[in-house]
Amino acid sequence: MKKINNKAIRIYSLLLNLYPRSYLKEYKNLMVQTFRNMLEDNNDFKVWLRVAKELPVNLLDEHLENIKGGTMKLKNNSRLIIAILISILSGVVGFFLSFLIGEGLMEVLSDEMAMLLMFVGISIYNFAICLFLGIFYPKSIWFCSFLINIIVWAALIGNLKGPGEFVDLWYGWTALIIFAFAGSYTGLMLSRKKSIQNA
Amino acid sequence: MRQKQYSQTLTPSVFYILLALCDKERHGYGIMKQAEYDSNGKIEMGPGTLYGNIKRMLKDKLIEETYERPDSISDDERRKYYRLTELGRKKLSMELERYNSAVKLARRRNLLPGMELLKLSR
Repeated sequence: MKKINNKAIRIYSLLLNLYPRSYLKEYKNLMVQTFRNMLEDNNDFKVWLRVAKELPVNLLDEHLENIKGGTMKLKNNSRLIIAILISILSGVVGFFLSFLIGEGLMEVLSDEMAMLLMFVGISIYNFAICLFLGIFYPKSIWFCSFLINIIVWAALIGNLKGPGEFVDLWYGWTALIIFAFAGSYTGLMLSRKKSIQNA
Repeated sequence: MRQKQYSQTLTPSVFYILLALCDKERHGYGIMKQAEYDSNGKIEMGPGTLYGNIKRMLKDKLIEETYERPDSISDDERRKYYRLTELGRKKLSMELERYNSAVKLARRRNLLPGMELLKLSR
């Protein structure tokens, strides 16, 4: 029997942590065991190639199933794909807007006031986008807020001068998350109300 | 929704997993190897694809976990074995029937590769 490379198994186990926790609880040990069996019977490179080919799609699939309560597949839900694209696009627009608004405001106002207004602006922007997504795709409450905020945070980090300052602004990004979730939640409620009225 | 999906068609991976389990219960790696063998190497699943499908098939009751171990002495007890359920067997039969009908139709219309040669030699 071929000698197993334990480092490969450790790396694979680490990679598996990218899967949803509920999935790992059930399948992590079985997957590692299968991976070990594959290494015993095949060339390491071939095994890794197979893992690399399937990992991104499977990760996305499992996370989306997790979000939707295990009832969907990516390819069967064009509404979800559109919602993800809108989220990313909104995030990118938010990124550039925060640069433009931030720099413009800092020229005419004090730094503190400009920063405060920028946070308010981005929060309202987040609320509006998430409100739209919440109505368009009611189950987007988690991921749309998450995607938008990741990109907006990146914009904020880019706008701040000097390391460590971002950490001090915890109140800023807490507000962003709250606004994004509030928007998503309101959208969700409005879409429910709409569907009850239509019924 | 998922039931409806299975009633229409099976994905190649699900089809070969059902096929691998039709004669006996197998563990994950056993299913993977059998599927690869049955498909002449065309179905190459990794652990992620395999257990993703197994998870959904368990949920849809196409397969079930079995606690009988074919070779309990030499076998690793951490392994889980799976077998077909009645529903799984029925779905596999329906899918094979669908393939069979398609092949019959293709034969009638001389669409299968090599059919032209057979026709000429007659």
